[in-house]
Amino acid sequence: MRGLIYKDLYLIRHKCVSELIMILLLTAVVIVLTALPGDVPVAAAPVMALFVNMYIVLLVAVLYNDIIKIDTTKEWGFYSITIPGTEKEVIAAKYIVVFIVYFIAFVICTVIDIIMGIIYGTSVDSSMAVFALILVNIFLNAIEMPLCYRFGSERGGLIRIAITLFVLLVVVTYLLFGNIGWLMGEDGIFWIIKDAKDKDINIMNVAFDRVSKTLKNLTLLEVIISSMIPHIVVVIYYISYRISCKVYKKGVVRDDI
Amino acid sequence: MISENEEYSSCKAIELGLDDRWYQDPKTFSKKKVIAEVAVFLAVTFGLMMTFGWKAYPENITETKISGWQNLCYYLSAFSPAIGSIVARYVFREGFRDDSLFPKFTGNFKGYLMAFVLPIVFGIINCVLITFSLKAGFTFKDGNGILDVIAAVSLYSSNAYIAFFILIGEELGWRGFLYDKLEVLFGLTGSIVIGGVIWGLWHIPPLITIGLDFGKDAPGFPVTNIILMCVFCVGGGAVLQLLKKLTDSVVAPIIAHAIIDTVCNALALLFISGEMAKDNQFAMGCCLLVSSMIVGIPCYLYMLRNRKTV
Repeated sequence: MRGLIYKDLYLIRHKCVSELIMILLLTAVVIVLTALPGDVPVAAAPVMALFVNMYIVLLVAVLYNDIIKIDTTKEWGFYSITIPGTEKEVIAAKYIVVFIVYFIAFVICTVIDIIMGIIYGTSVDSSMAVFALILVNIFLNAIEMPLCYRFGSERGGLIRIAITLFVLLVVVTYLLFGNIGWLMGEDGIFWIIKDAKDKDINIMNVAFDRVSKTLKNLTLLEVIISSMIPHIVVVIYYISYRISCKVYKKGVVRDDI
Repeated sequence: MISENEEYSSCKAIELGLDDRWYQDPKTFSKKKVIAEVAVFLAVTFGLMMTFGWKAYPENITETKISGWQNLCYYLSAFSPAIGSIVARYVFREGFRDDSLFPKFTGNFKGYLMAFVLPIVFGIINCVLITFSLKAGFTFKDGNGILDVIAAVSLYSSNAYIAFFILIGEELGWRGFLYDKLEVLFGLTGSIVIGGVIWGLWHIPPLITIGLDFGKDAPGFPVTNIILMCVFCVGGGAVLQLLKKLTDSVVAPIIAHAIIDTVCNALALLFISGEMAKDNQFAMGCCLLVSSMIVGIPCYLYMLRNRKTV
């Protein structure tokens, strides 16, 4: 299994290097545009860090397509069932590689936070936000991976796009017709950020206060449900692995290619 | 004569970092070499911790505005054991062929189950001890009863994922490197005791600056705190080393360590009010220490009895 993991990481190494260069460039551009012209805005630091970190997670989501594309072809499928170890190991290796790539992304995001913190002179910690973004991506990957193994990466990708569009539709509908007092209301996030920016206060501290207030107002049941989300995603990822194992052989003998 | 094929494979091996000429099997290391390796590890780990640790854990943390540099210092000190391990492995060409960061789930279900069970047992014993020693009464702070416990545990368990990341820095160095080397030099008992003491001494900066676990009001501060932390780490080290041995991976100790640092602490605070916790930090630290010994000693005895199989 370790060989398979190594193989996947080896195959995406050039892409990783080019993406790392892009991340460095983006970080440099963000710093030059915000920190260099005169006074360093403290309020901007966490926002800028979050912007770069979101970009990193997005890049990893794109990288995921390269990881999954190689091993869902029919030729590889026929070859993989002849190699030592079971197909479960082949699939487990793929799931571990996806996890490793997200983990590396998390490490890079932490490094970006540290760099931004030093340059802007304030503590930047967007780990919770990055963690939440990674969870969303892992959840989407958990849905997509069994589909890729069963129907090939192209059809799997199409289904993922369909799911993403559906989620987007739900979000847009909610933003248009739902109660968004928490976002645009008098005490909403938008005005809090604007106020922090005007007063040049670290948005992280404001956000922390806001989250504390929100948590105090939550019922215990709401706290339990919201904090169980990471565990639920982990369980879904495992279930996805089990489903992939079940559909793998059917996927190998599919007749689309 | 080297054939074209052999030359090609050799070049490929170098390119992939699999060149055997570079790698040296740690099993063939003499005791002197192991001592030198441990010395390099300790120099880097303690060098980083003692340089940056003081700045990483500022006094009056709630009042002090944390700067970007302090953040960097925190990560450098938290990851110092991992950095030390990487440097030592590189200097002595040991590499990472033991794959200690690889989870190795297959056939190690017992070990991973223990990674969840042992910290929870530790947390419950700690709660019982706190309740009796501080006469806090086995009642919850708020009137919500068991729902409070579930809410706190689930909230802190979600924080365990972030703690998991930070604790890689510690476990990769201690259980993933130092304890194994000390076992070669001093045997199992020596590795648990000496490893625990070294691990405890590594905590000196936060012990002095923020009064970690035992508080600043401890009698004989900071010497008492340092000694007690060393004893606590001996017990805790035995638990985590057992998990490392059962799974042949540092992932299980990381999981257990993350649960202890998040969920167990939350459990303890459920039974006593914030003010009571502040006033009795030393007593609470002592309860932690006793719990670690209660869980650690059976783990040590288990390792001792099953030395050949574990």
